Amino acid sequence: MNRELLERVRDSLPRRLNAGILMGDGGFCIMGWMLISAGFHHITLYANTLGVVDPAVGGPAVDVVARVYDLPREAVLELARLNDATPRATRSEAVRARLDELLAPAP
Amino acid sequence: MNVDGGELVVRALQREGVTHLFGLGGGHINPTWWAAQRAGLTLVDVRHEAAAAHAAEGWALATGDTGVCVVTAGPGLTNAITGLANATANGSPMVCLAGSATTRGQDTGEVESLDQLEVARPVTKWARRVHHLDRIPEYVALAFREARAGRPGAVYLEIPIDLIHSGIDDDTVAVPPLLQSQRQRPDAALVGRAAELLSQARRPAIVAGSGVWWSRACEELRAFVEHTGIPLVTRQSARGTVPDDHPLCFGNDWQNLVYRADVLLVVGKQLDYFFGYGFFPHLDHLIQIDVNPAEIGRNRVPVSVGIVGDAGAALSDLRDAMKPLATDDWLSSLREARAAVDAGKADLARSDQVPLHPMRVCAELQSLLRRDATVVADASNMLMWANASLAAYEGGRMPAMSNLGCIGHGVAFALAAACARPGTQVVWLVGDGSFGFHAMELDTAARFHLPIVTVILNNLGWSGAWVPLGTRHYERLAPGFDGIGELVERPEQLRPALARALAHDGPSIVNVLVEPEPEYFAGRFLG
Repeated sequence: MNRELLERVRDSLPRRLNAGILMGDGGFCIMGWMLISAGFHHITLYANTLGVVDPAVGGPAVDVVARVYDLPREAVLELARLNDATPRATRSEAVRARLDELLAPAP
Repeated sequence: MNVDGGELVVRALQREGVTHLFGLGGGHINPTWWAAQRAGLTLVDVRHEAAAAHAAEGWALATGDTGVCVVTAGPGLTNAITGLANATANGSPMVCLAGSATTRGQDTGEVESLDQLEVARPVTKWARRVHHLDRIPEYVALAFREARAGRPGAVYLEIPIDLIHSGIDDDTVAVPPLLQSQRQRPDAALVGRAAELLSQARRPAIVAGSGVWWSRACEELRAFVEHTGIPLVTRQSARGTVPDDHPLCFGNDWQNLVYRADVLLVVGKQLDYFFGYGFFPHLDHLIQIDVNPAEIGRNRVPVSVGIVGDAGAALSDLRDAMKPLATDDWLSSLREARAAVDAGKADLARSDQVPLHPMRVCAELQSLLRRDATVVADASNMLMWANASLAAYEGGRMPAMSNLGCIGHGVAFALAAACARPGTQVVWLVGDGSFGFHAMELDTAARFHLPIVTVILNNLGWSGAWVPLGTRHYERLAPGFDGIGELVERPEQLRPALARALAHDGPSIVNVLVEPEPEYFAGRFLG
């Protein structure tokens, strides 16, 4: 895993995450925040957390995040699902806790 | 009979079937203005030339015909430039007729003198000046042909003030033949290859874009999907060409369709910002139909089959080349996915939160609209909620915003739609920031008795980089324009306020205070 990048995501996590929108009225979901944190600023702005449209390094968002963060695809999927399924009030904390788990040293 | 340049312009416009002109008067275009009045054309005079240009595009978006605006020289044109740029970016056919200073007065300090051609060229697909009075009919005809040639767009034609005021015997003026509408048929071998790939697909899908609307190919598109059983989404000006409640139509949620498909047919849709730049590496095959060869494989997207031709002709030929496909399982999985998304949307649409959730506003509005209503959803963040909530049942009812990124111009689209379809509901859905751009066009609506309902999703500021605008009572503007104004602060006030506005015979404003940081709905495709 790209530990440095993942730590940056965790330490800069917005006080509240949204449930699927990448950018706009309500800020970011975790996928959007991870993509922006990794430098994908030119991705589609409105309502697209599904894909990164850079012909050179793009693809479905889950695949791009997995590749850039060097994480298993399943771990990224789980993170995205956790984001979407957790109520707004506790979403950010739930995602932060999962990031802590991912960053914890292996026993 | 001795006639002036304005008379020649208007006769040429009438030959092209023009009934409405959008513009703002001025000395440099008076002959055209007066001739249009004599001829009985409807002259919709707006309060700023940007609105004139946007309304001309709006006419095209609402009717499928070429829109026309008339603006005066100098600032008349520079004010209209954004509208021309938007139409060109959107691929909407429109003609801008402008006055200009005298040829002789160039560099003398003459009033409203400007090198207008150089200003217009970058934002139009064709820009010309008429140098000889007897060539006006020819140039007007050329302008209409160029506006619709290949990918449509804005064209610009200027006539100097000294020329348009001068006279000529109309017996000496040659009139060009009217070009009959015709369709460019695609290559049969490429159609055959596309039919083969679609027939072999396990999860075929269609994305229909504006090219379908400009080709007037609603019937061909519907016939093709019903014959083959292939699901589709409609985008931009194709919204409503197959109604959203058709069993094979999945609205405009292109992502949930495209990312699940294995073979994709893209008809008349640019591979642009609004469409992920066409970059879908998961696809086995991407098949593209476009009237403009330059659009095939734009952004270096690999295209298995690129068909250059008219959307209607290509869809008709493709239908003849294909047998019905077994898509029941594929459709079931798509409907299941849509149900998950719809459930998320429905939760937000029922929200009783204060300030109101924008999804609640859009859902309540939708429930009060008739099938032939026009909803102009202005751009920016607000468009996201409109796209997620509002259904299109007929073509031209949901005018497309362009990737130029204009905001606030929706009122001009609404003006044009209300002119095109008197007696139908026309709603301008807009944010409080964008509302300020062209709010004075509600005066135009009042003067022309156009009962446009303005619904402001007021989050008290600019959303992008948060800049507060504060609580402003925009609804209080309405009585000044013969309208009614409603302030909605609580959910229970919303529906009655919208109903009153829709029932009013004049422009109205419903100012709804909405959540600045609304929750989005879940249910996206994650793979």
